[in-house]
Amino acid sequence: MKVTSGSTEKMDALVELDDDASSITIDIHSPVSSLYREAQLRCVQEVLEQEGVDALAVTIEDNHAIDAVLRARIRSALSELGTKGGSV
Amino acid sequence: MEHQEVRTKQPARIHRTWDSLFSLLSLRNGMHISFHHHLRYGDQVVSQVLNELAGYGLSSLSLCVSSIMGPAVEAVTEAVRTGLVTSLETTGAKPPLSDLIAEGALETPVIFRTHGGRSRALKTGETGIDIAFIAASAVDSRGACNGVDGPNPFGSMGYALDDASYADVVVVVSDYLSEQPLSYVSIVPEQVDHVILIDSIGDSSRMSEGSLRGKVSPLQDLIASRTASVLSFLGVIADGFSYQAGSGVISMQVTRRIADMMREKGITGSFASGGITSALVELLEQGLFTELYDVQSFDERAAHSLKNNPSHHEMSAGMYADPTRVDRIAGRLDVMILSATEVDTAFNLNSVTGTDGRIIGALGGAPDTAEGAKLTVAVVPSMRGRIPTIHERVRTICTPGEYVDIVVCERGIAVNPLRPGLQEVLENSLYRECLTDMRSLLTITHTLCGTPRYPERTGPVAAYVEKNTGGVLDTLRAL
Amino acid sequence: MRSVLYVPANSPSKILNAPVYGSDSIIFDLEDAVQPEKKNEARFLLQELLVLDQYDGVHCAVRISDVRSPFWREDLRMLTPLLEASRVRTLRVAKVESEHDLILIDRELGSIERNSALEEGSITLQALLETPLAIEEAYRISGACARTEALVFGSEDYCSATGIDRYGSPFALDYPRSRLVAAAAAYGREAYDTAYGAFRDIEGLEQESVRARALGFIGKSVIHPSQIDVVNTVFSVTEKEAEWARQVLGAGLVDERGTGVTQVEGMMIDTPVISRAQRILARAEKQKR
Repeated sequence: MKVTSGSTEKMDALVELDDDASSITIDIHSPVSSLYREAQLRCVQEVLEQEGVDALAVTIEDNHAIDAVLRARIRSALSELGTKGGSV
Repeated sequence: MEHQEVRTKQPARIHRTWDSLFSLLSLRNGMHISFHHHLRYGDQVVSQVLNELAGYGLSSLSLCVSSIMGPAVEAVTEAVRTGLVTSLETTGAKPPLSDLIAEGALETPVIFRTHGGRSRALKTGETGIDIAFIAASAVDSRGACNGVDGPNPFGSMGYALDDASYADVVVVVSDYLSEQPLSYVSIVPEQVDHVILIDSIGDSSRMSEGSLRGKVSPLQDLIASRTASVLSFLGVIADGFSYQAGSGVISMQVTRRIADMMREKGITGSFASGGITSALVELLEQGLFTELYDVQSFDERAAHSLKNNPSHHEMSAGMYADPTRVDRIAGRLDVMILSATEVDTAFNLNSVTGTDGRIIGALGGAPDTAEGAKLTVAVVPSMRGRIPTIHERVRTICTPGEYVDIVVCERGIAVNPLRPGLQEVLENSLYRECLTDMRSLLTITHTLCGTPRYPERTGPVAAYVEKNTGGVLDTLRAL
Repeated sequence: MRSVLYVPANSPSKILNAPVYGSDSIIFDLEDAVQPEKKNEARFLLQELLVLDQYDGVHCAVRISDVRSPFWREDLRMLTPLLEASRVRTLRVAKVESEHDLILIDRELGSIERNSALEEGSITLQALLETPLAIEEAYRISGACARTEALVFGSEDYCSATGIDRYGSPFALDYPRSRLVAAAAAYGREAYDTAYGAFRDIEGLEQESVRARALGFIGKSVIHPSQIDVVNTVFSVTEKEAEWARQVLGAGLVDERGTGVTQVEGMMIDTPVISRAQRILARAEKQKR
């Protein structure tokens, strides 16, 4: 099952989660990758760890989102997966 | 008109084909050629000339240009790729040309100069021009030319005036031969060796594309209003004051806010200068300024005003900003408003590279005017998206911090510690509420955004940023 | 608060920029500004953003959906961490039409306060009165619960229901405004005026703000940063007013019980006037901070 959260507006990120996955994969498309790639990956990994997720395909279309926004979008998408009876 | 030296007593030769022109030029590999960028996004001259020179079998040319933008970027990029051009001196560059520069694709490091620095370097002979190809919107049979007549008027030929003075050979490139002697003359016949008539020099209606950035956001207006308000409080906006602002959105909004104040209080400024827009022309026509000094016209209304309004003056880059000239306009400014890609805790400004090191901008005349003006104010948002504008050290120093007096952003006003008197005045005013310092701004923005991490560039030197007085200010290395 | 800036609760850029514009309060809108399918996203966004350092010292409020909607309970549940951390101090409840609306929310908030370290009653409410029924019930709404700090006028639904063209006359909304102010004052609540939708019309905003102040409102909602300066100016205590208040209070007119009857500048001073002077200086003090 796939769910999305957020948008591609400036300072936001469009997060797509797909629980049809056997491990965690993180795919980030971002105009600030050259400056923040490590920080973005770390942020996503931390949220997934906090939420106890060990298998999920995460795709992010980022448009300058700070970590707090990334966290919010991932958490709300996870919440939706949980609500819709996903395997997360 | 500024004084122009007599370079040649031979009348200019008029050509209608490139072969005819080239047969009389001593073309050779490795020579230095120049262009101006007054047609900006409407320019077709650079691409045509480079094409013809390539067809002539030339290589290893050195370009000494006032700037490169619009169609010229693609043309010079291709020229670098093919080896037609192997050396470059300019004020800035954009992708994809700037990416090539950053990769170290040229044989020698690029030299980035300010407009004033270029004029100085030409005058002293630190650089030279073998052949200047000067686009003109109109030329007459004597060889006199201007940028205000013809089907593609682009206004001031400020950057070209220096080329005409210092180049060994001057070739005027035009698509309009006036049957009558031109009444408005930018470059006198005595400075012109050849004229070549071509089908089109470009499209002057496209001049202003890309350079004059659009709609004002509430955040940008906040910064602009705060700046105008502080300047008014400091007494800078007073009868007879002189003013210049950059072409960024916030800078232009500062101009609008200041103009509103001037109207309200009945203030008349002495002159406004630099890149002249229709907005500034309007202020001249409304009597808010007595004169305009134009080194480049940004749109057709400015071009029209230059031709028809005796209070609108064309000025060369030398008169504008050569730091060795005591009469330079930059040295007579009361206030200069400029922007930057980055600002650091020592008030240094970067206008050439982004935080990721990519070359995206230019020096222009900003360092010249920052140095010369009595008060220099940098107007910047504290962040652009996730990228902080404020850093410990800018990626590339373009305007030294000692020339920058105040930084205004939406999170506060920072006064350069080199101006303790200014700090004290603001501390004792209602602006104390928004006074801050660069270190605090750095902390706030880096806490919000995270501190950007970028790969260090350890390759060979790809470009130098030259001080306007000569000598290296900073270095850009290839990845 | 003189100005209360509405910010859509699902827009990261607007939320992050909101503190710089100088409004006295920011109200993050979970109600009309967020579509139903996006409400959860917005709640998570507020949770993550309002704990950032830049909101320290900023008066943050949240507009939650009305009690007849399916959203308000989840709004409160998701806002609990922010309420517990005092990052959000005030909730503005949309479309309040009866005292029971506030009593329902009061009970929920009481439960949140008891389960946390928050003092009972510390989370305050603002009741948004938007309909003719709400205006008629204003007195009972004002007295519904102790945590109500303000009544707020919302004119769009009111105008729609009554057929009033609010831009047609500066006096068109005098009745609901005055009724709301009186109801608020009856219980010592503050009164905030409705937002002015034509955000480019600064002159119109100023005229409406002047009228609202004259009718007893102490502040106004704003929907665009360009409106803040005008509203702050109109609703500020002027130096002249502050000086008058200082004269009233400082001229030895007040005995230890705060009562006395005398005159200042030809105006008879009695207890209500002294109270008014005290409120003026309290507001002037708040403005400085």
